[in-house]
Amino acid sequence: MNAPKPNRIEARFRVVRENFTLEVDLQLPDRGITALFGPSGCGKTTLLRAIAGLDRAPGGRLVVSGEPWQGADIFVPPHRRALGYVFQETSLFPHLSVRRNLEYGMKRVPASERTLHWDEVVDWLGLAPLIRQQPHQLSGGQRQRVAIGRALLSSPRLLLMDEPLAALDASARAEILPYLDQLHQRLAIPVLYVSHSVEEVARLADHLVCLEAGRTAWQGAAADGLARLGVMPAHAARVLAHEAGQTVLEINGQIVRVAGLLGAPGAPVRLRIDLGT
Amino acid sequence: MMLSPGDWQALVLTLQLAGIVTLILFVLGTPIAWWLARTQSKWKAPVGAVAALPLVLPPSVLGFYLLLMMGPNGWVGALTQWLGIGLLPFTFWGLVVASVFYSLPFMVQPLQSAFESLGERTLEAAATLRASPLDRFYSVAAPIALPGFITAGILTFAHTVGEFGVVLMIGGNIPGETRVASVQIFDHVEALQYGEAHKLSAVLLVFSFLVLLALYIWRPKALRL
Repeated sequence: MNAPKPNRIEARFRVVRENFTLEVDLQLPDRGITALFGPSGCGKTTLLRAIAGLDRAPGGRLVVSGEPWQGADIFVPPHRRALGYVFQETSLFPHLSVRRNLEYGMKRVPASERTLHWDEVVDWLGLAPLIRQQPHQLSGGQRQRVAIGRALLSSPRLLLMDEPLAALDASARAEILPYLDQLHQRLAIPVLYVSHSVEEVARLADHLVCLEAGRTAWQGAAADGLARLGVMPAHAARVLAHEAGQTVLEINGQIVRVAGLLGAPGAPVRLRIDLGT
Repeated sequence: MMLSPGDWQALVLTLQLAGIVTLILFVLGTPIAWWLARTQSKWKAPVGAVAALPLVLPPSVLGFYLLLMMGPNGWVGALTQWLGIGLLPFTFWGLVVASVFYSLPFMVQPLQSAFESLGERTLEAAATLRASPLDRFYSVAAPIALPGFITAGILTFAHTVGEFGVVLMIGGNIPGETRVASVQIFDHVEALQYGEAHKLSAVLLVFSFLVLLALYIWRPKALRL
């Protein structure tokens, strides 16, 4: 074993279930979005729950940014891990208003240790109009935005998202994706994003781990991984200006012009090239 | 309608007994119900069966064994004597102990079903938001299960008010100490005082009806035992 690197997430787990065995030894970057990708039942959620400490995986090892969360004789319980977890289905507290839901984790972190602030999170996720409502009054997409906000307000050092869009219909997904893009640009903490959707991975991920039957089939930069899967990655771009019915975009210092007026100047956009095969 | 001083004394004693038993059972029944709702232990079935036993056991059987246990030759009796409390049978506190056993399922079952319907996800979400297990219970589980607590409290109270067989076995018939309303009615009937028996019976009938009516109006599904 290499010496643990302080700026990495090291996760080594072996979990035996009735129908499969999860066996992974991962070194993940501690910034950007890492997608855990694979078909249903490949162990993505099992891995995420083990990382959160929601399920015990005896013999596992987990170090997040130099801090051991699980080891030979350590098991930090979930409520002492600085993590945020967004579940696939709604997990809002039904007896609390949106405001009290958002405050729940925040109030349990000392003010001096809070890294994300109320106004920022509410602004990024467009939560201001929802604050006074009760969870049952919200749509599925709104609920997930509140759940993401609630997780962020607990100032996590690692954000875990378990197929946060899978239970939503297409329009709710389309509504929430721009917010996730937004987070991607602004969030300084690493995100582990479980998904079986190529579209989401292409849009959001920087790093990709492909799981197959409980094992790591491939890991590396998302762009390379997606190319292997035959999917072109989306390029992060920025709108420079609108000129003569065209939008001028900047991608990694290159200028690209596309037809149509997209976004306001300065806005971040993502560009995907379809090979048209 | 005028009740005799003896009837009043019996009624007050009954309400005191039911109130104290309900409070004790909130404290004892909640952890038992929580454990039964969440455990995967092999002991779940036996413990659940024991907690439900008073539902089917004749009160005289329960009373008989409690009498033996709390009597001078029983281990509880030996313990209370060693502690200098004396013997529990034929005292108010003996009735309290017996009623706690007798009414246990009426506290545990509604709470258990309330806790079972909580769902694992909500509690897990609280855990990932830095809430310790006790914090999760007070801030999430208890408020969501509040209707279950209210149902359990009302049923336990009402059931204790109505107990008779266990009281007779354990407490006998001591005015102001163990003579509760149901025993007082039995006495009136034995003495052929049907008029007196009528009055007290009517009070209990109306009381029971009002309690159940309140429960049904407030929550029609509350009485699924």
